[in-house]
Amino acid sequence: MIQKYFKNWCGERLPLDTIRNHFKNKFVPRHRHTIWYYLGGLTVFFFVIQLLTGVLLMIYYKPTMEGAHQSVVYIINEVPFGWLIRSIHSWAANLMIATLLLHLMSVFYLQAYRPPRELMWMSGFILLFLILGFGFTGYLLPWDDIAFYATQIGTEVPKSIPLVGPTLVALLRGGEDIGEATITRMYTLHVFVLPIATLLFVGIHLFLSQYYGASKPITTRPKGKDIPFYPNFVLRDLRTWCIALILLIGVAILMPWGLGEEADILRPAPEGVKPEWYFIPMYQTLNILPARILIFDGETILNSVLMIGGFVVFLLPFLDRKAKQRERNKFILTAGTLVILYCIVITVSAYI
Amino acid sequence: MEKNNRRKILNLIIWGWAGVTSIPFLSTVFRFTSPPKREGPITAAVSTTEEVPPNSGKTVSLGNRPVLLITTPEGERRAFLANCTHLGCVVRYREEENDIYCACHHSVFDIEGKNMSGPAPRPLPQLPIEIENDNIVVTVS
Repeated sequence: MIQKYFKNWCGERLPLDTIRNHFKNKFVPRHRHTIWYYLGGLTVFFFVIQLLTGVLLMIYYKPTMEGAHQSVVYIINEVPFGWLIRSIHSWAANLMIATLLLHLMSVFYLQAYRPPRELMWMSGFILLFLILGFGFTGYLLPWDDIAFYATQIGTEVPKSIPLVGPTLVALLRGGEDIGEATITRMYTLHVFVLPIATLLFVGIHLFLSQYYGASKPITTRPKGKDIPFYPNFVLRDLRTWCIALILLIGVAILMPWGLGEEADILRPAPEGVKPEWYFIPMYQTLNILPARILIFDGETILNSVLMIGGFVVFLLPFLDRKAKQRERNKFILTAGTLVILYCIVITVSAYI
Repeated sequence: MEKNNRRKILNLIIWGWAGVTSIPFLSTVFRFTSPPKREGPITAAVSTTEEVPPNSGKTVSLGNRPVLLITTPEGERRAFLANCTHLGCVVRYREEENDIYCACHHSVFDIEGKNMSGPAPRPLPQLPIEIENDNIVVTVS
């Protein structure tokens, strides 16, 4: 009775019928690559987990040089389930980046970026940067040795960008060196600026995905009838999220996220210092590049390649003219595969 | 036609106003977030000579910056900014190799601070050093 009254009350004030009709008429293509459609939803799921656990961690975390490491130790050792919440936050961050990269790869290989979905690709690409920004800014917050050096290296790289490099580094660090100002800046970015920007772009991305629907791959044949989005595909999404949640809690309990020694700005860099796995390709490339190539520093070359490469990937839907005509573009697919293989090989080489 | 012109002018005024007001707004945000410039040269006694015997190194803080003090096997004293010229990791003195080493990307400098191998593009900046009453006095600019 109350439920019916509430439904009618909402129906009179909101366009519920329009929303219901939209979902009723929305279908997801069924083919041998349908499984890749779950990755976007899975990334959003991990993002929601991050928001929830992040808010909980904010209650105890202190963004100061004296308090940061101690507060994380306190969360792990004293706060009931603190170790679990922090472990879930750290694991979910990594899983979110993993599913995001897989999602990006699936869109690339299925050439789902082709018109009219250019804006979906571009908003997704911006989201990739925002999510990597979360990883980067969050990494320093525990203020342990590895976090300190990963941030030291990460914030030093943009220094070689002509004209704006040193200003950009000073803005990120809050000074010339990493210290208290860096923690507060990273914290502000991590808990306020990046979440707001990410929520905005997730909203745009989801709106576009509802507007255009799932892209059908160029060469794949359909396998039976399309799947109704509501309730069939939504329930399948929920099933995937349940499995992901069980796995996430499992790894968070069985392999709790560690914490290194408190950072000391005077302590020499420890042997084998490495950033998180998703920054390893850049880190290892810096290791390989000689100090100077012709008249340029190695970092300047890497920055230039990354910026040009990023710009090309961002504009991929406009550059791939074959995809527009529903044709496989072998050159772009081979180039993308080579980049992915390079990243995999160089990442594995850093761990063996 | 006249109505369209009026709308165009109104649009221009609104966007112009938004553009003009955003410049001081963004400039204020930029200036607010820009960190203050580092103060001028700092000179201070950072260690005693006893604490850095021959063929050893010690990292100290001066003006919030890491400074590497070394004493060569021959007894000569030197001070360098301890940030590697590659990506800024703190370097250390290696007694056995008699050199300065960065563990981040394996850059090696000699005891004059000159980059010998690895990706470091420049020598370590050497700092003026003086001995006053068994104290090592260093100046960071």
